[in-house]
Amino acid sequence: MNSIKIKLIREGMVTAAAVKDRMGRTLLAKGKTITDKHLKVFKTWGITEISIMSPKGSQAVKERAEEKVPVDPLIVEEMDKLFQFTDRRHPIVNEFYDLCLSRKVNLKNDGIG
Amino acid sequence: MTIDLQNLVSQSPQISSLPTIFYQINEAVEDPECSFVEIGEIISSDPSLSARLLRIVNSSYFGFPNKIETITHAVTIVGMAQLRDLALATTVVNQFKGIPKNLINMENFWLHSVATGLTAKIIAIYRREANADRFYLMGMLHDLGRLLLLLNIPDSIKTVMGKYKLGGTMYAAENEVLGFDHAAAAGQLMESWQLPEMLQEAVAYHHKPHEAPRYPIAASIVHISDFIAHGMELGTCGERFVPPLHSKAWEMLELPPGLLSSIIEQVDRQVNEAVEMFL
Repeated sequence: MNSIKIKLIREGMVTAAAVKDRMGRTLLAKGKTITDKHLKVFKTWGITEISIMSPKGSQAVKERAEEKVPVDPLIVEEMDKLFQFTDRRHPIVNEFYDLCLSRKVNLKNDGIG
Repeated sequence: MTIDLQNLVSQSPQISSLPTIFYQINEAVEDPECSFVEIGEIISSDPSLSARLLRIVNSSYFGFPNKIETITHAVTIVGMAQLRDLALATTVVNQFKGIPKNLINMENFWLHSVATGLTAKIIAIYRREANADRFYLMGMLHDLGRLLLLLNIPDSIKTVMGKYKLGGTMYAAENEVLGFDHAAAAGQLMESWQLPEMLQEAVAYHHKPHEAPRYPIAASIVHISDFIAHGMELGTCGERFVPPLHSKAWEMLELPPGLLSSIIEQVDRQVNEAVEMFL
């Protein structure tokens, strides 16, 4: 069983456990194939992670997500400065830093940042 | 340097109280016998406020399919409490219009405030908090203390800025020089405006949410939202760095780490429309 972040979930994946919202209401049962409609429902109800079957497939998704792309050292320097008063050893701060870094890289690539 | 915070607020006649119309609206919303039409009439008595509110409810942020032509219609569609909160937000934005650019860039200030408000609302919705729109308002108002300080004690703020340039966060420099920070100043302002205690506390304790005596959850939501808005570099209140995260605040809210990416996506999608609504 592999827990995958919602943004990495694709149509056709199969649930390894029932997907439930915060109130415990089942949105999709175990063993069901995820469709586009389900994805919309999950996002609406604030689902952030889903356990899916086919470990091989999910491992590939995870690896793809964790693939490191080279980042302009100037952007890293700017981000390190921005976060200098935070404790990056804290897992949430660390995750947020990574998200902000990749967002900044994407904005720069799109010519926005 | 000793500055009495209470005196600082009470001696600022321009901002120590809100326009009477806001209190009339608030009283009407709190009155269970007051009808939509009566509230509509109260708001309509102020043409400038009515025009601003109609612009807001007709903005793409709300995305209503048909144009809302009258305030009474707006009250029935948006709801009394939310319209009251929108009236407060637009009144406050109006109250602080005209601050010289050399003091602070107001567009950046409101961008940061709106981004914090949006984040706070998203977290509140996720946590199934009652009246999630109230949290939008908390985020929107959380840094007002900065404006209060800039307008009233500019010389002391120069000393604060001198200290800040040497290193550290701005609120630490404020605490060191003034004995209080912009969060406490904003809390005092909310008290003087007679806004709900939950709002006062969430704003006053947004840099030390674990110390909030009655509403630590609300203060933590604003604290985390401020942290996120700074990390996304959406505007600024003058602070150039992401403030430290209090781990207790994060633990208290019991949010899944995966929610962070969803918040970033939602805020990026909504922030420009939300800012245009007010400015």
